[in-house]
Amino acid sequence: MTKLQTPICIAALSMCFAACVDPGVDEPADSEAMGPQSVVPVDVSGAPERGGPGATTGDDGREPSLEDSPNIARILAITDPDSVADGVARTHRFRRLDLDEYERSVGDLLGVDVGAVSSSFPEELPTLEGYFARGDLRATDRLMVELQQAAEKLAEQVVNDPTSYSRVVPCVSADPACRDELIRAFGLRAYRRPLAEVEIGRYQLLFDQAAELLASGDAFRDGVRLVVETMLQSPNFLYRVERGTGVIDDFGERISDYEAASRLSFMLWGSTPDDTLLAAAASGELSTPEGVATVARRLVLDPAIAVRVNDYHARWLQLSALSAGSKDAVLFPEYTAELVGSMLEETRRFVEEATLVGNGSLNALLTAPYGFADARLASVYDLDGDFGPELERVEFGADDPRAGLLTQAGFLAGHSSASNRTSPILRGVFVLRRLLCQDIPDPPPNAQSMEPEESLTPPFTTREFFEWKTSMAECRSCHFQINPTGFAFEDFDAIGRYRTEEEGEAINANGLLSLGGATLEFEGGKEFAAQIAERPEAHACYAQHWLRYLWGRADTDDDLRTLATIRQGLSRSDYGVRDLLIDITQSAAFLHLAAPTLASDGE
Amino acid sequence: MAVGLPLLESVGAGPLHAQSAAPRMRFLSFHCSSGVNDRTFRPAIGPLSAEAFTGLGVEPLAPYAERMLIPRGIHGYPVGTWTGHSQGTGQALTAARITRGGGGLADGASIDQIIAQELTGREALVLKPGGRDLGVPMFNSISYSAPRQLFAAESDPLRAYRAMMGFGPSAAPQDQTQAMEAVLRKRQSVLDLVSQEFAELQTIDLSRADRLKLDQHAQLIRDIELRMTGNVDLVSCTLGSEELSLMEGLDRGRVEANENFPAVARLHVQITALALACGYSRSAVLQWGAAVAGSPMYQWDGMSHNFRHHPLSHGTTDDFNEEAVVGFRDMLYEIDRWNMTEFRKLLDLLDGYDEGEGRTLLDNTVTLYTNEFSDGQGHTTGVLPVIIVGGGGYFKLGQSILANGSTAAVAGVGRGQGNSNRLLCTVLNAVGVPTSRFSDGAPGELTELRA
Repeated sequence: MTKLQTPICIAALSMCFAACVDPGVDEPADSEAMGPQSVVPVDVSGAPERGGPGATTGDDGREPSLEDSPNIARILAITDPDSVADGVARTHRFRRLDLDEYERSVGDLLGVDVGAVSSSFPEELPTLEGYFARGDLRATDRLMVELQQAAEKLAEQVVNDPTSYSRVVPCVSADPACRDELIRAFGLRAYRRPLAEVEIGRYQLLFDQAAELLASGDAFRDGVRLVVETMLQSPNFLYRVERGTGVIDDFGERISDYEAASRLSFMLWGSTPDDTLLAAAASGELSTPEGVATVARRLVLDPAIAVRVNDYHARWLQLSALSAGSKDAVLFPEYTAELVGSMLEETRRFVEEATLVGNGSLNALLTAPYGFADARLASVYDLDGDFGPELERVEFGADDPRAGLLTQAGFLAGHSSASNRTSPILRGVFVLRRLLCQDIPDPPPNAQSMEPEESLTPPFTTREFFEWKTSMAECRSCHFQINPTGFAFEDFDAIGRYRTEEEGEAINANGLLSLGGATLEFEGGKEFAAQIAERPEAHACYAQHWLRYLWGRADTDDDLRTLATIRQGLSRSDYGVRDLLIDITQSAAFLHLAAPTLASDGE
Repeated sequence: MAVGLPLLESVGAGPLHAQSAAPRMRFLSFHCSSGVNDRTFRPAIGPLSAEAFTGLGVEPLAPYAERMLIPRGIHGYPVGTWTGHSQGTGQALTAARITRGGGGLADGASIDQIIAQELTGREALVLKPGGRDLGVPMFNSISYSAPRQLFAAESDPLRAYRAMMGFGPSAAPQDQTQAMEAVLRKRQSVLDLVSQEFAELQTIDLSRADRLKLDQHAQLIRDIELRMTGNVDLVSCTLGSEELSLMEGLDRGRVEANENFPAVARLHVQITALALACGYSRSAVLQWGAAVAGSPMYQWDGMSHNFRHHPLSHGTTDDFNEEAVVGFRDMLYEIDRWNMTEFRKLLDLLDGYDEGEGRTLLDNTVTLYTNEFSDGQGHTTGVLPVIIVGGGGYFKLGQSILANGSTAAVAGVGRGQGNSNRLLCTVLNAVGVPTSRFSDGAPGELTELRA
């Protein structure tokens, strides 16, 4: 678990999108004239100014940032989503595949294991509250070199692996006809659209040069290898290019059917469209919202949907904090990498069971009375019975202290101190910010060193410590909300074990929380989670987070209709995550690009 | 097709031979986190000699006493003093404001990236041994390619090295030069086609943001093409087999684990020196461990601390200021000395590259030591410990001097009196990136630091 100087920092980042201009280097410097060997001080008064913030005036075509996101109250105020005009928030026309998308796409295209070549890729930082801001993903020097090497190795693998080869090459005759068929068929899959004639011509030339450049003795295989190697480095593969159709209607510019196919598959599968989806695009099935819905229904029923559903919930729950954490080894000798692995796996299995098997959504995630345990977790959960190395489903009764994600070890251990104690602050801030989308500001820089005049005498419970630590007037404006929210989970210790006492004192997990005009009164994490599950704030917040994740951008007023629709859906027990995903595809934004041309900005 | 002679003719003109008569300046940032034990870290203001370092945290640097400048009274800009981790980390090389939010990013590019862009049109090399703070990405890198655009630091030396070599860790031996020429010719054909596609995409009506992104990628393709001409000779710029097997032997899942900190840190030191010497980069950052939750727990070379550097800097066992640690200042002193010992090894490596005219790579590099804080316990960015080594004759070396208008006492520094932006401005000019004003603070250099 992450240890923090200011514990609140871990929660949702108030991120801004990076300015897409580089103000630091607007004038080229003549470094030779200013030779480093010159010892004589040089007058730099005429030299450029550098550093500092990017130009913020003018419209540079950036995607929306979180500062544009509507407050949760605006979503809640909408009683009839159909009465709200739908809009189209702007998205970039060039969005680079993130490295997971790259891996999955290449795996789907070539049918080879990509892990071996992608393990050395540089890390990418998700900058939108733990999700990728897709418009911000850029090429880097380092990445280019890695992608070049990956493409070389993968292309070599294709020609050496008969299964992969037959997946890539649609014909057996080593002649120009087969060459052209390869270029068209593989090109369609790699570029996610049919190739233009000029593009085909270029690849024909390249193919014919391969025998000389690679000189393996098998000219056709050399050609295949070079075409694959090149297409994997093409901007048309590495970026999702949305040229649009030039057709403008009430909502904006229509995207092409192939672009819609890519939106669907990357949103729902995190990968490139399969042949069926490309065929749907070719036949015009994706040109209406109804057609999109029909196709989306197939996609969400495919097992491939699990990748995105799991990835979303892992990011939403900030599970990455758990993976590399540590705990006090004396107090928690059982807290090993294997146990952490079991915790993560339980969350994954639970999310799949609740959302994909059970067709539930937020309510099921927060309240479903079952979990998964192997021998290691059974010990943490104090479960009777025989448990082996594999996770199995465990039913919880009404008297059990557990139900739902917030009572599972993954969340509880992940939002605790890195040594011995729980962290009501991390737990409370998580619930307020990421579950309820409440505006909890960051603590002042000196929060750490502020202490009440009267000192605290041990022994004290964690709750007593934080009540004391945050008792000054200047802390109360936030901690009157953070503390009760976090204290609700004090019946679980720093690795998620249920407990009834701490430091010899009975656990107090009671609390009152004022939320949206209502007062929640609860005792313990399970009861609190069940109340949250009913809150419209939680429904709206879950909708907002999903939308940010799926689009890879912040939500805006243009998304209010969709957000309100999903929010209402989530209040019904028959509304599952699959329904939510299909609703996202039914917005006006899905088949459109905002504004006729973003390029006219600033002109 | 640009395949053929122009490419092959240049084979053999490798980085070591490519030095022109005028020395090429480099920039190196060595950045530590969690502050120092400021009672025992740096020498007094005045001339520096080896003796002045005796018994101090910086004692391992004593052999370089006369080749370094220790400015006193550098205060973090723009916030002033008594601030937090976001400032100490995000501002180190940006002197920029921190954007709203606990994980907020610095609102300015960092000088390592500005220098790399200006001098080479490429990115800086940014390395960081050890673990990371999983909650706050900005604690894991001090480098920003643009305002609010955090540039991830590489933690795995093997990955950094592979990227640097372009051909993977087992760079081809010299007798395979012919095979490598063939690879280069093939790559040229591939990149030619890719470049044509980029040119085509650049004709689409685009937003400014998209255009910049696309142009940047296209430029990188051209850079790779250019660099390929030098790669064949990189075999003379490789690490030894011992380092290679050490790097390859690391469990890839444990590279960031605490027990690997010293080994990984030392490999990063080697790679950094190699990169600067061999022209892979002219601007490098070696961030000596992440801030806060990613800070190392020193359990090697005679140290057996039970707490990570960050809580120790508070004098406590845990990030939440729980129990006091007896003798924490002695532990901080040990940490300071170990860090400086490794820093010294980096200086030794740089000084081992003779670049002609009686100068070494160390002389031709502005090496800037910075720290997140001065005194860790107070988490203050006032009176930051700063050390400049080398610098191509631009700085007053062999002295510790007080920045004009400043004071050496934290208590005397008010909000808004930060001057670190002017220090960074001075460094930019020293490296050969003329700059009249850096960030949005007071303009100009700290001229009193200049020779």
